[in-house]
Amino acid sequence: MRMLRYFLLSSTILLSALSVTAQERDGKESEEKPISFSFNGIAASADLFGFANSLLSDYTSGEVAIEANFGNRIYPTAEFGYGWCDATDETTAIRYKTSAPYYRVGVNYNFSTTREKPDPDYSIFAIGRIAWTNCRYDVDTPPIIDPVWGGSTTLELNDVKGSAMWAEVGVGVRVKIAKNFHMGWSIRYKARINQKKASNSQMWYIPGYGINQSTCFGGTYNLIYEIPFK
Amino acid sequence: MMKGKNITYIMAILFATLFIGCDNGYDCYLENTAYDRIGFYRSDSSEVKYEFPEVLTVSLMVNGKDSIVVNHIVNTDNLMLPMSYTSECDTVIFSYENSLADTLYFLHENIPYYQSMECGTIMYHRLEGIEHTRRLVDSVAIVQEYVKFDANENVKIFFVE
Repeated sequence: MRMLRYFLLSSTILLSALSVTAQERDGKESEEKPISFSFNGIAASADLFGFANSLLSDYTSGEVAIEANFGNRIYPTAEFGYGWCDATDETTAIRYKTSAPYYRVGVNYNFSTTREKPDPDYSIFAIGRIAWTNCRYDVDTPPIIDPVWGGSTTLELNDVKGSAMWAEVGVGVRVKIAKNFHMGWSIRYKARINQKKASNSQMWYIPGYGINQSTCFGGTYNLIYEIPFK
Repeated sequence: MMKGKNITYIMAILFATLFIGCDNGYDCYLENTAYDRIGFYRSDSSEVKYEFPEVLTVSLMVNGKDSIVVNHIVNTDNLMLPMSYTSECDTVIFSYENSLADTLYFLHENIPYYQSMECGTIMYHRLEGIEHTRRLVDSVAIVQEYVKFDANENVKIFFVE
């Protein structure tokens, strides 16, 4: 995991440096041309990564997104998803169940668009998102045994309300595979901003976020259909 | 031109900062018993700890039988007592020399708490009141009603000399 963090971090800084170099080079060749941020269209996409993840873990998610294209450079984006979890821990025998929608809004910034290539077939972009979810969860626990006084008690948690908000930053790539169709992936670093805890529990899995810890990684693999407006 | 460059630098710095702050989050208590932390004081002072001079034996009344948890200690000024998960009144007996004894009744609410799938469940308690006999115990005060896993004192017991 640490190696992955270093790889992502170094990749981001490298991409940033390359982007700055490209912008400086472009600037020297065509300083008079203004950068266009005109509205180019809307695209809809679906994420396949969440479904693939269900093969490896006890939780999964599915999501769709809609984004606006401004100058092939800035893409305000809204994502809507649904997360499911039904997991039982082998050691503690605790079962956790939840399913709920989640929402993200934010922007993609395309580093690949230049004055020379205003509409490239590939793009490398930075991602920023704010996300949130409201969910209800159930927890089944085995009897809690009193080691001193003896006896046992149970903890039954049904329909417990929880909510969380988090931020995501990341990088992604996207390539054109056919007219108006793109395919791409992204890696995202997620940081929890806040969560609502119940009086006797907290969420273990947060729909759209993953396992409830202060930070985690996520990814998407998207199929994108671009609706042209020109 | 400068604006694009600045945005790029800001994003790189933001990303790096978030990586530096990375950690895994959970407070995971592996021991699931929270102890009631009791301090001993002289009846004329609530600030100065009192090293109880007599031989002290502490027993819990479990299912009608006494079960010794602390046996023949001397010069102690504190005690940690386990609390019942199922009962809302724990009976604790302080036995002194010369067959003297005090009985204390700890009234409490039991609060089971789910930590996570991996960390399991733990039990907290909330002290609601303490009743006692008055052989050597002069009075009792609850100073922190929630019995959790912190090191703070929950109860002060004031002894007559």
